[in-house]
Amino acid sequence: MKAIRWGGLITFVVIVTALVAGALLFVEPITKSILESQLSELNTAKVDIEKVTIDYSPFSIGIKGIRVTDPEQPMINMVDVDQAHFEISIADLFFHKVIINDMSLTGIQSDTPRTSSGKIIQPIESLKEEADEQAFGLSGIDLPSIDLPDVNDILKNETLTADKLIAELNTYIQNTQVKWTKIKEDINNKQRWDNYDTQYIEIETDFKGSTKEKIDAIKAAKKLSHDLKAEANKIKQAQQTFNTDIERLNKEFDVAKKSPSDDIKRIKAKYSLDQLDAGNITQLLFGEIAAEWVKLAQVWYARIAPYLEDDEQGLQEQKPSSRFTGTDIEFKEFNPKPDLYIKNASIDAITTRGKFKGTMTQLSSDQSINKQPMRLNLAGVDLKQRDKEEMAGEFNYINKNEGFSQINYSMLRYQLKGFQLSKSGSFPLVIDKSLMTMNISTRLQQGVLTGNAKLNFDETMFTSENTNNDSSFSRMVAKSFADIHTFNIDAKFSGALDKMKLKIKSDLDNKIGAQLKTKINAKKVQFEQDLKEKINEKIKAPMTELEAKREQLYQLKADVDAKQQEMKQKIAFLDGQKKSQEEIKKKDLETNKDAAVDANKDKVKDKLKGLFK
Amino acid sequence: MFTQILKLIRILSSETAPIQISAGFALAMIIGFTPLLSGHNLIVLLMVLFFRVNLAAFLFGWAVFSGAAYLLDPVFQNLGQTILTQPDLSNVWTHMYNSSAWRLTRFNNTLVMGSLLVSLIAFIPMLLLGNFLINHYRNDVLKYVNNSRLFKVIKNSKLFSKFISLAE
Repeated sequence: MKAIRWGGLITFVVIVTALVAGALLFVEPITKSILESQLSELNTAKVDIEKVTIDYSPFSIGIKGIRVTDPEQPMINMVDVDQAHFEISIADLFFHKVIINDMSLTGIQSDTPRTSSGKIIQPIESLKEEADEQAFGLSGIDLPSIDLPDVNDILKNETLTADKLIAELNTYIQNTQVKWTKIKEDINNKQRWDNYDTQYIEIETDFKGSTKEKIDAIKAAKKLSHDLKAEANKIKQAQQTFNTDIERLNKEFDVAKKSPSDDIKRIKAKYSLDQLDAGNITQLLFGEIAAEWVKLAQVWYARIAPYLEDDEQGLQEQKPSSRFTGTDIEFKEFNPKPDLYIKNASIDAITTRGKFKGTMTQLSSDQSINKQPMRLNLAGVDLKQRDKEEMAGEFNYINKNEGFSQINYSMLRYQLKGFQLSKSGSFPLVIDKSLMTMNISTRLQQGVLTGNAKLNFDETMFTSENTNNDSSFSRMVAKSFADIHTFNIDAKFSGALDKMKLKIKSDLDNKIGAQLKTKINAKKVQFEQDLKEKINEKIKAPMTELEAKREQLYQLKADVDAKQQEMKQKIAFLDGQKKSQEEIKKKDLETNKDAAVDANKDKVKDKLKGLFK
Repeated sequence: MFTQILKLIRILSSETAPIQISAGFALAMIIGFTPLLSGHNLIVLLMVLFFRVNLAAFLFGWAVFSGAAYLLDPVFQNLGQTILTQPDLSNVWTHMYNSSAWRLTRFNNTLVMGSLLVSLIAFIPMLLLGNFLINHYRNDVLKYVNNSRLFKVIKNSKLFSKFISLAE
């Protein structure tokens, strides 16, 4: 028996060769398809690739026409790369590492139009997540506006504390009124009091009658006095309740009366009126623009944050450990490398500002392995409307706990034209032309962004267009800025990305006229006065109504007090009558006793006289 | 499946050397127990084609052992986990982990390690056991069946001829 089957070996070679040939033949379209689907999933909008080419010596991948859709504008490409080339270490691929020794991105453009929508239809659940994310919001800078809000609009939309307190007080008064009326009705029970009156009249009559009647009257007076004292106690308790209620009522009245001032404070804080300070006109003018820039930075940060964050942990979590697939156990690597590592990358971008060229080094998925921070340098070439524009960045996450991103940006002599500084209708201001030099330095560490921006404006011309009826104010604005041709701005920002604090200072504050500052302050004071008047006017009628109801309560109390007075008089009379009758009775008894003694004495005397006769 | 069983009976009853059939089963055990897309399976395929291994036995065995693997996977995974996390062996695994050739075999996967280890250990016993059982079947069982009256009656029936034609 022959142990070897040579035909089998040939079959094996044919099968393996066919498999390899098939893989080589289809590897490019397969790679294209995989890249498109993976990148689209990551971007949450379509990523289209025109062509993928693979070379094997040295191993490299070339990608032509990468178009990344802006998820928020599906008809716009957020990034459009003409050609991308990656020189990859093939040996490291066996270790599941993508090590790119050299990468080049040429013809990068942004915001290019798309021929078809790049929107991906998402499942309902992910749409909900997106909505929640949007609800979380970005921005977060509270800034005052020169355009003060309309007082009537505020009062229409705002729920005043005064209204709430008045409503509560009204309910309290109504409940108290019901309670007091019940007490009063009980105290003034007609049947009971008629009975007392009848008894009282009878007692009065009996006291003037015979001795027996007088004795009965004393007994009845005792009983009536006892009943009336019980009534008095009831009234006393009612008065205590009234006093407690009145004390609380008066307190709540005081709170309700003071509430308009609390409302004014709250509204001022809500509309940032406290920050509307004419001493810092720069904050008013540039605050809105700066806030827009910060918002833009937040949007971009939100886009790139997932790539900046260390993804090793994420990879660990993604590892399958289900049945039938097993778990990949990791061992120490002698020459550890990040899962994704781009040693050098050259960038060539075309923007509306001009061409930009730059380099990116040490782009790594885990900097703690390659121990080098990622660095980015970008500089403008053949720029439009500016002499120089540069950006340098360092993304250092070698030590994961102290990782930071630092970006420095500078632009020299940018020709600013027709730049609307204030969009306010009442404070129109446009930089007609100026040469702006800007230096920005930002640092993001542990979710906190800090930085400063220094801007110098030279050869500046301001214009102020009258867009509303207050032409005197427009003229004043124009006059105040007419002589200012050079000024600088120093902005500092800090805080968590969703809640930034922004401080803007400028020598502009010293240069603008005092008249303008006074006018702005006057506007603020006028607004506060109007608000106060309107609120007081709004609560005047309900407060008057409440006052009237309070008076009714006082009247109830007065009625009960009067009843108490009346009863006191009756009890005093009964007690007095009872006392005087008892005294008369006592005296009569004593007189009768003396008379009996005298009579007996006389009898004894007469008997004695008879004996001695 | 029925056809496969008939084919198996035919192979067992044929003139094919028992070692060829049992080698087919033993190699099928490796490819059936371990994940298909593993480097060592290419070697198994080469061995099946290069050596005179019975292909029908191999294909039948592959189907049987793949089914059994569904039940045994948790055992393989636990075994692989235990082996790969043995402190005494960590040096060996670390050195292998740093070699691109070894990484291609996916040895660090718990399922690959566990199932491959079981199938390699069971390979020789399976080969010998298979050989012994086939010999015993041919010498004792098959002879007894062939000489029995009942089988002679069945053998002459039309139904039996149809069954035989199915296996061909």
